[in-house]
Parts: sequence; C-alpha cells; structure tokens
Amino acid sequence: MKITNEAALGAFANTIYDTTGLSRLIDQINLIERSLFKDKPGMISAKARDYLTGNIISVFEEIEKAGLEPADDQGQLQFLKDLINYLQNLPVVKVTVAFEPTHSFVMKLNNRLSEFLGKKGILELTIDENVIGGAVFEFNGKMSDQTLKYKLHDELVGLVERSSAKIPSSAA
Amino acid sequence: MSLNPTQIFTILIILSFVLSFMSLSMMTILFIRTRQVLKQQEEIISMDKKINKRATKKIEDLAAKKIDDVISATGVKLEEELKKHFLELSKFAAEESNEMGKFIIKQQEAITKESQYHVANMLLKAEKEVAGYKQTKLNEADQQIRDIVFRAAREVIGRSISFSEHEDLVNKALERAKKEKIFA
Repeated sequence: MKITNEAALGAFANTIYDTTGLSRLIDQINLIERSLFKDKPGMISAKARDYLTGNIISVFEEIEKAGLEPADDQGQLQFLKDLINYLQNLPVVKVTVAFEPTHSFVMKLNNRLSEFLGKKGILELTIDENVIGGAVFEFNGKMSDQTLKYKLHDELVGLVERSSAKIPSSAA
Repeated sequence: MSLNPTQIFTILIILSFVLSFMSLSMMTILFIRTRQVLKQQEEIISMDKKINKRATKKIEDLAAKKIDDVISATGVKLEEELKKHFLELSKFAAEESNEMGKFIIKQQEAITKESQYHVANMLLKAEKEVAGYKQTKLNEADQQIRDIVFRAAREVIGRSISFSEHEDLVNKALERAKKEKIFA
C-alpha cells in the first residue's frame, strides 16, 4: 500500500522554512523510522513520544486526528519513507543576505517565496556582509542579484571609467 | 839366359828409377802446361773485363745521351704545361676572389637588412609590451580604486542600514526577482 496523501505530507513541510530545519526534520523522521517498530502498538505519535518531543509529535497527532496516517506498521513505515522523499524533493531557493534574519522574517520570506513558486519551498540561507543590503536569489540555475553591492559596484565602475576618461593619456 | 835374384832386383830398381823419372817429367810438363793455361785464362778474364768496362762505358754514355735528349724534349713540354696550368690557376683564383667579394657584399647587405628588420621588430615588440604593461597597471589602479571606494562605501552604508531596512530591502529584492521571473 502506498501512501501519497499530499495534505499529510504538506503538514510536515509547513513546519520548516529553511534547509537547517529541513535537515533536522529529516533526521527526526529517520530516527522514528529506525526505532519505531519494536513491538510497539498504536499510532506513530504514541510510538515516538518516548524519544522525541516538540513540534513533530503534534504534527503527527494532527494528521492522526484527521485520519491521514495509516494504522498498520507497514503502512506507517511506507508513510515515513514517502514523507522523507517528499521533503527531500521540495524546491530549494538559495538566498544570500547581509544580515542574520529573525525566525519570523524567515517564515515570512518563505511564505512569499512559496507563493511565487506555487508550492511549498525551502530557503537555503547564506549570510554575506559583502552584499551590503538586499538579496541574491538562485533557483533552478537562474540568479537574480538584487543587492546594494551590485548597484554600488555598477555606480563605481561608471564613476572610475568617467574619471579615467578625463585623465589625458601620456601614450597619446 | 837366366837371371839371378840380385840381377832381377837391380833391374827392378833401375826400372823403378826410370819410371819415377818419367813420371816426374810428365808431372813437370803437366804443371808447366797448367800454369800456361791459368795464365791464358787470367789474360782472357782481364781482357774480358776490359771489354766489359768499355762496353759499359759506351752503354752508359749512350743512355745518358738518350736520357738527356728525352729530358730536354720533355722539359720544354713540361714547362709549357706548367705555365699553362699556373695561368689557369691564377685565372681561377682571380675569378673565385671576385665571386667571393660579390658574395661578401651580398651577405653584408643581407645582414644589414636583417639587423634593421630585427631592430624594427624589437622596437615594435617593446612598444607593445610597454603599452600592455601600462594598460595592466592602469587596470590594476582602477581595480584598487574601486576596491577602496567599495570597501569604504560598504562600511558606511552597511552600518547605516537598520534591521527593518534590511528586511525591507530583501522584500523589495524578492519582488524584483519575481519580476525577472526566476521563480517561474
């Protein structure tokens, strides 16, 4: 039996916003997958409660309440495998910014990006003070440099070139 | 008639003397004859030597004369040949010297031309190198100016941007990136 319930999988994806959160979530699911079926009956949240805490248990509980989680061990194992596969295939957008963003800003940025992508996306954040302000976005081999560094560089190049043109050449 | 032993002995002795005398006489004659023959032989040898000597001298004279004739005849011819040969040699040497002179002149001209070409090339190359070096240095100076100004600007601008302005800049950047359709 193959579980492909998009809503159940999406519930987990909605708890993460960047690649750090994604890695952490996949690690937790791997841990559940490895230690889940040791003669323990019941749903996944009950089986994993002993060694996992926090958000992930509540997400399992929600989908269990909604009846989106398989009841049998084999179905649960397949669900976890599908979940890992789903998370690993989420679109990743590389974002380079000049400052350390707050969690709420990352959430907002992720929501806006997911809106633009038309589906849940994940941010791969890089902090580089050299960009000064703004951000560089990279997705699917395309790049958009919307930084102050880029603009300043353009301005400086123009300024230096104009200045150089004014200097008379001794070779002439 | 009978002879007694003494008589017989006497007769034998007489006969022996006679035979000895005859034998001695014959040996004397033979000796004298031998000496005569030897003397004649010596004379013949001596004469023969004289004849040989004369003949040899004559032959030598004749040969010398013939050789002199041949040498005198050949000498003239040889001298002519030598003169001719020396003339040819001197002519050949003069021609070769002339050719060598021409060759040296040509080589000097070629070397001069080649040197001029090399000098011109070197000058051109040096000019190019100087121009390239100048351009490189100018580019380096440009880059250094840009870096200095950029670093200064980054310091000034970076410090002056607040947290909320950073967020605002990122939001605007996101909107512009969307317009560039990089999320399509």
